[in-house]
Amino acid sequence: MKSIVNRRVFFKVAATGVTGCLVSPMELFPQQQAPTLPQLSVQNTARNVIFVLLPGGPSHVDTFDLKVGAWTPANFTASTVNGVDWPSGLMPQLAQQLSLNRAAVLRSCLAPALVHNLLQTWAQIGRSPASVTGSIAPNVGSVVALEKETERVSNQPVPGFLSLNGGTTIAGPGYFPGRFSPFDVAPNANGITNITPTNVDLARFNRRYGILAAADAAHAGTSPISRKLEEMSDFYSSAYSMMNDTRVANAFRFTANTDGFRYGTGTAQTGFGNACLTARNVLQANLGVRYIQINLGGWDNHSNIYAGGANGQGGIYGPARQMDAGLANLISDLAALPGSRGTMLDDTLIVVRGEFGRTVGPLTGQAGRDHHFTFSTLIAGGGVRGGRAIGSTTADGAFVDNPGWSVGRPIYSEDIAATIYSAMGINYRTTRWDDPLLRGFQYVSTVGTSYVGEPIDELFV
Amino acid sequence: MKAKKTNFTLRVTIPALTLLLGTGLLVAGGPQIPVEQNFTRVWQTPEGEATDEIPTPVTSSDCVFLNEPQRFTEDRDRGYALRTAAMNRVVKWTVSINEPSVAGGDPTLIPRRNFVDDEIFTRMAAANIQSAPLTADEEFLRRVTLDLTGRIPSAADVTDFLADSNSFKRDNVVDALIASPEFTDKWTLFFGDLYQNNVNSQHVSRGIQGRDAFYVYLRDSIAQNKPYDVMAREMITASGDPWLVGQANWPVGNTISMGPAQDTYDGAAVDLSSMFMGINTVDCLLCHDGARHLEQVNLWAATQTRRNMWGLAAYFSRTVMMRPAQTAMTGIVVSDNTTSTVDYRLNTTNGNRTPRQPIGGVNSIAPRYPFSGSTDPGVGVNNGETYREAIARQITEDLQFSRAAVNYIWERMMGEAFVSPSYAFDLSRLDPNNPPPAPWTLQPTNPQLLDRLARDFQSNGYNIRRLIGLIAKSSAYQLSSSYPGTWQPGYVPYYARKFVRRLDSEEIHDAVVKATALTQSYTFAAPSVLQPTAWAGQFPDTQEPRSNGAVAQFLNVLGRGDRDLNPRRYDGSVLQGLTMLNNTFVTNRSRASGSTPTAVTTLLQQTSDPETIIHRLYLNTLSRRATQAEIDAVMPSFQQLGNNVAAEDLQWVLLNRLPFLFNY
Repeated sequence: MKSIVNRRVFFKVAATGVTGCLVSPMELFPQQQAPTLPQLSVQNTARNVIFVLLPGGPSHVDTFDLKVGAWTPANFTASTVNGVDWPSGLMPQLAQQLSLNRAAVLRSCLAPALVHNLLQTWAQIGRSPASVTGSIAPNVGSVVALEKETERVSNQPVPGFLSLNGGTTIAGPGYFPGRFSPFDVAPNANGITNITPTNVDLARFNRRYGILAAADAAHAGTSPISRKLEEMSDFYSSAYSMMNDTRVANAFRFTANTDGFRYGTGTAQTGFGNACLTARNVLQANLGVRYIQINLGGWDNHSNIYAGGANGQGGIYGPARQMDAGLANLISDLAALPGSRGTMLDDTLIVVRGEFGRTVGPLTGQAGRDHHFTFSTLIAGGGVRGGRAIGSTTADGAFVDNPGWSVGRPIYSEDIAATIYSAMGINYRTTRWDDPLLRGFQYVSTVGTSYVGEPIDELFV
Repeated sequence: MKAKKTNFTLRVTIPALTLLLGTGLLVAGGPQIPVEQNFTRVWQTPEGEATDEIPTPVTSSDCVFLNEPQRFTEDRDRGYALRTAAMNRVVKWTVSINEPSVAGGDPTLIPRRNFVDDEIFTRMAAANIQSAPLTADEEFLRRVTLDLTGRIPSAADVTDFLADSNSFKRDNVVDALIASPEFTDKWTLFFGDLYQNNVNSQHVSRGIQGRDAFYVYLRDSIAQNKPYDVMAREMITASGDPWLVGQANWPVGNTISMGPAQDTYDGAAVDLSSMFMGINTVDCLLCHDGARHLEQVNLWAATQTRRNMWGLAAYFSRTVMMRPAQTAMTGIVVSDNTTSTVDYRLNTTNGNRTPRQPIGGVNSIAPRYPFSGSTDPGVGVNNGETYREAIARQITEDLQFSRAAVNYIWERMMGEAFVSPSYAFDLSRLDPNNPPPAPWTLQPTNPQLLDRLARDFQSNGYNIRRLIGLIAKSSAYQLSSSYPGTWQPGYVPYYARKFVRRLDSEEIHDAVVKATALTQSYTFAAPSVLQPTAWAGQFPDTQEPRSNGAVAQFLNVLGRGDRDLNPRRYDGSVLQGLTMLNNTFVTNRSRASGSTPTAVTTLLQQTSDPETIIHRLYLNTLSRRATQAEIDAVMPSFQQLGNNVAAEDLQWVLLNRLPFLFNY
């Protein structure tokens, strides 16, 4: 545990140009007092985060919170692993990781609403998008990237927040500067798009770049736009350094038919498997990335959730099997790599969740499941003690009957965000005073004087 | 590239031991202060106190990051604000940057084209501040073409303009651009951003059909130069199926999910006041009174109560939005309930706002206009009006409606709003004849000019083209972005030079396409009714082209946002650098030999003279002629590698030249 001294409460930097009268010697500021902070302890057990978002809303009772009924397909092979009910036929490789005490399940999670977009964003920004700071709130990954920027050392050219297969679901950096944006990559065996020259060979690229550098250097000093130019010039320079750093290109590249297949279906790559493999490689290369978000959709199974029957390729089988192979190989590989505090798995907090769960019991008339409030989160690594479930739902999975943690209520997105911050050694009760609303941006927001998110410390003991 | 990092002098005045330097300069690597050549940064307090050397290296424990909120793109010009909790106040710190001098001007000698110049240069002279000179013709043409149409000028546009000896040629080109179809594209995109037209957002699903209808409504309104007050009234009072009635997508956009109907009435009040009135504090006030919350943020809002804002939201309490149960799919149909006797009821305990409970025995709030500028303040609905007709009438009568519109457009044209952020007006700090009590000051950078422009807009039929023309024809708009002598952040409110902006994502796309003459047609998938287009400036939202993911990604990387929670951005990223350097969208357009001819292909067929090729590529891409130094720099590669290879290389270089991404 790390003790946080709230130095940030003492010196804060505010954004400029708030009212447009910047010659005024003194600009007034909201005096709303932050709640008095008790001495805060954070876990500080993780160096990196991999946040896997499962847009669509996986059926919790078919995956992480298995509830067996007449509807359950035989090939799910319902079993109990370390006391946790688990579909070992659907997700055999994750079953093994669970049995090796490398993953835990939070079964008492609750979504406050059932709207895909809204809840997907909610999961990523750790607050309601409709709340006061919802419109400016950064992705939790942007906050982690900003907080950890001071730990960056030379020779770490990649931005702190990497997004793999983010698509249009990825939440952005909010009011934070662009350099804390998700660095969005569609992973594939050949590496990052745009990191290698296109249409020309490297020699010609370098010649062109030389002409470019000379041209803009000649321009410097007399350019009417020199200062804004500089900022963009820095990004161009960083881009060029990344292109010329073989570690970067190599980290994003892999061998399709060995590792790619292993993380995929065994005989083919999958998008999610490629993302997990890339996440492993990038963290291992230690290029400055501290937070990785991976999105895996396909879970909105309103109809034909068990389609495909025995072969099981349709419905939930597709995403579940992609997830099983990709995630289990990621966990297992990280557990085999040396880290700063044991293995790389010990260094890396992995959080896997959808935006909500799905209806329980027998299937609907469409042979599917609709949106439902309760859901589960899989957590691994980063100091979390695995091989168990925290909290539980009623026999059918419809309601939380035991929150399973000291706060004594169901777990919300706000709590998961606080847990991530705590594991990363970040004061989750930070209030920044640089937000454009002049309101103070809280990592975990308050209602009145109460914080609405608390870290789930039970995971770490 | 030119970003060599060497040491520069960074000096800051620090009260005692409290080092409060937080800068965007403290990037990767923490302890190292990244440095720019040629500049000396001198930190000083607003009082100009003596400075002390910053101990270097500055470590993270001394420093707190200064963020650069996306609205404040000019912050290096504006200086930085630092707040100490100990003093519980904000002190503005400024940084001055010594730049190379350019010939400058006494502001009294700058020609005055209209009342904009009277206000700008009189104020500048009174403050004894030098003006930047008027900009050169090439720069002016590129600037005004981008600002008015979202496109760069063609090579012929540039050479024709330079050859034109008419002394009114700048006015003439402004008139011509305002009359061009591209003007409609540019400002339809602008209003699409303002009213957040998209297919899906957190709370609203307009569908492709609704998005199209709203886009067409805005496009037609701009094309017809519909008076802005008419546009506002049409949107605020719109009824019908938003798939057919474009303006009905504005009320649909007010929807707030996951709460009682009052949340959506509040959503309408927030959209109304922020989009049309530039007042965002209504959002705060709909949860709590201004007293004890907003005293130091907004003088007007501090005097306002939650009840007053319920009176504003009550104008929407008889708006009905529902998707009718019928076989044919439609949008969420909007109508007014004219038989209801229910107003805004105080009976909620859940949803997105604090509970609404009866106050003083009152359990329902009737419409009541809360802003001061109405001719009948405090009055609600007249006989014969629907609630929405009443509020549409009242806000469009209010001078603040005009101020907000002028401020948005001034910000777009000049790079720096009178009131910034442009949705953060303080109604008690606007009247130049009635300044607020100390320590408050008037809020706008130039209160007199804002007032005059707003009254001019109001008394000339809310004519958007007239307003934009007035600004574009002023000398104030036509100043150079270079400044004579040392630029001070304190000069910003005087508009003593032109401010630089990075181009919109769509503008960059269209500039690459236009410079290289390699167009491709993007289609809009069914059920869209829109015609295919080659220009991003004609996209109806910021997710298109859905038919071409690679181009959509190119546009996303450049920060167009989603018109919802991710706003449009103008800051850079590494990904943008990689994209411009290597994305085939750019590199394919630098080829002489591709499946489709580019400007380079055509040019090489037309001439074999390297100097002509160089000039033309500069004109095509950077909208100016090459300097002799620039010609000399690339001539050897033409001689050594031949025209084809050298021209391809030069085209790529010019698309990656930094000025290409900016309007200056």
